[in-house]
Amino acid sequence: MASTIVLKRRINSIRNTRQITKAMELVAASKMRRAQEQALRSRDYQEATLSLLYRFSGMKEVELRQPLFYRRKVQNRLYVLVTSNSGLAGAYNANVLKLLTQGLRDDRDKGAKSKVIAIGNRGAQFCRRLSEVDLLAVYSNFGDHPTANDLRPLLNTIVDKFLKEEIDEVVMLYTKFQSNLVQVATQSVLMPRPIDDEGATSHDFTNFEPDTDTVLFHSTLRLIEAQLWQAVLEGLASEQSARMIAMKNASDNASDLIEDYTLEFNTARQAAITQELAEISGGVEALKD
Amino acid sequence: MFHLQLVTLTGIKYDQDVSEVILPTLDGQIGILTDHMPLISVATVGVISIRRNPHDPERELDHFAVYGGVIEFDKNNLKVIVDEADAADSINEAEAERAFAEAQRMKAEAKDAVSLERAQALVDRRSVRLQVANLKRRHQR
Repeated sequence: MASTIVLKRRINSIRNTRQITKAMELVAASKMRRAQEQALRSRDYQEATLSLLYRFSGMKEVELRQPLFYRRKVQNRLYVLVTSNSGLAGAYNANVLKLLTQGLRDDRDKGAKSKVIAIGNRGAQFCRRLSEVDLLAVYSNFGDHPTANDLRPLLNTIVDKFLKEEIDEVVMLYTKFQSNLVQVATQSVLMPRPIDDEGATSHDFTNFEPDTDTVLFHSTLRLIEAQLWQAVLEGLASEQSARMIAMKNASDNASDLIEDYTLEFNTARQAAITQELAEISGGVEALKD
Repeated sequence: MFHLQLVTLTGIKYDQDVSEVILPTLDGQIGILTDHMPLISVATVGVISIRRNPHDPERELDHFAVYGGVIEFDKNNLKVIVDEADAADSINEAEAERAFAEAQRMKAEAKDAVSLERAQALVDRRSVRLQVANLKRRHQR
């Protein structure tokens, strides 16, 4: 049995750790509420824009007129990786990075080159260690409440590279927020939008006003931006939820450990007292004779 | 009657059956009635007016200030997808007037093309807000 001093020290150290994880849990919980609200509020917008994008990509005339809808053979694939800046968020980053690893493996088998733009330091760190990945840019300063202006340079880079044919497909890897307990790492193609089989044929009589080119010119970027924006918001909400749960588990574990060690400490202390008493009374008996 | 959804970044602002919607587009205002042909168009900065029932008088229209987006009409479903939409009730007229004056001042003081363009965009936005606020007041009389 470990000595009481060692046990005492261990209990104190765990208690300190618990204090920290508890504080992080509370911080994450309050950030989480706002992040979730923001993500859920704009979800309708994202769904509406996505269905419009699908509708566009089902139309032959759109693909001919708007280069952002061109489908080429994929030789260079760009991943937009949404991760967090700091760790201690459970499996939040690991799940997204697992998706990335799968994608990279597929690319290698098919002979396509992989490029990555990372949002968040964790994803960037991971990619720097991989030799086959071309890390184009890292955006790590979006903060807790990103604005459309934060996203603009990222969007411009992507669109520019796509138009110059430096990349042929853009895939977003992010974590979709479902509930406090469930966040799903998700992969979705940002550009060019894949053809939606259902919507492809039924909308051919749609009237564009004033004309197709003008409508596409004004709306395409906006629609794509909405997808990117939502991915970032979902990521943020997921990150805070994952961190809160992870920190809650850590605090609970710490409490359990403290309980176990306290029991052991008490047993050890009592054993020491009992032994001392036995020795004293043994000594007294010895003196009597 | 057809269904109108006013979708913004802060959620769905309007979601019900209506009889007529007047929208600001690049080509000017268009009115949409039931069984309009499928349409996709671009919304500009302006006022959206909504008539809920066919015989509602002007003063019962709902007004929203919008600042650009996309319009999609298909099978009697109208989706207005805009970044923001301000309902007439949510705009304080005095405040809107002050903001408009401020934007005009900025435009007057603009030195280069970029800041002028920015100021002009701000003037447009705020004049629409003011317009919507005025519409509300006129109806209250």
